[in-house]
Amino acid sequence: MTLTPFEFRPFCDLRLQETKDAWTADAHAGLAFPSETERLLDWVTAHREPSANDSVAFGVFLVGTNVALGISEIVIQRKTVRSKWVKMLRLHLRSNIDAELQDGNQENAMNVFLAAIEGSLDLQLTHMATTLKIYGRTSQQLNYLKSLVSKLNNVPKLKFAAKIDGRFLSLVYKAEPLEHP
Amino acid sequence: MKTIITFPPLPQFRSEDFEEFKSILITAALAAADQVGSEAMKSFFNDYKDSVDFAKQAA
Repeated sequence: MTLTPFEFRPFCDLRLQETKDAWTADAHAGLAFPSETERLLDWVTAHREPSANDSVAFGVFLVGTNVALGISEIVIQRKTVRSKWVKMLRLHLRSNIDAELQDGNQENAMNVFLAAIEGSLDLQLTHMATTLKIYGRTSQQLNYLKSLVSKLNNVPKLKFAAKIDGRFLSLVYKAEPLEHP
Repeated sequence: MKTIITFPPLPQFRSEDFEEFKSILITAALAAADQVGSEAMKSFFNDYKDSVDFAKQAA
């Protein structure tokens, strides 16, 4: 289900270049710190392909556009032979969305965040990962994630187990075992 | 004598379960944001973009 016209995609050459151009222009216009922006974009450039236990960059894009509105750091991690995790570690908002947020309008920030979560769930399904983890670094983030868990746990017959596990929101898929032939 | 090793069946991942859960999760995420309030969400996003030691988190 997609509530917003966003997509969660890795960075192809075109998306990387257009995102670099736009985010760098934002920084030079004083909307973000140039050194931080450059460091982030260098990280994206170096993390476009998934590799074992290292993070990979995904962008949140408006459908049909190539400038990321958010950049997310994802780790796809094999825990055991039969268990994989997808971890969403952080999300960078583009400066104009961050500015809206600071002005009290959180709609677009939430849309980007939700698109990143939806995209992470798609990755969980694609990689047949039992668990999706969303990192909460600060008490503010953990409080929000705890509130989210309590909402989810009010839903009957949920196919995912939701709990706070350390500093992560953990969503474990309760998959049905396949029948033996 | 041959030894036969059997493994438990692999779980079945159903795309319809994930689509259903997305809808539930989005509703819950918006309700949670309403509950904690806009100032808390502002902090949430500001904190969320701060740097994290990812190598440590990935371990």
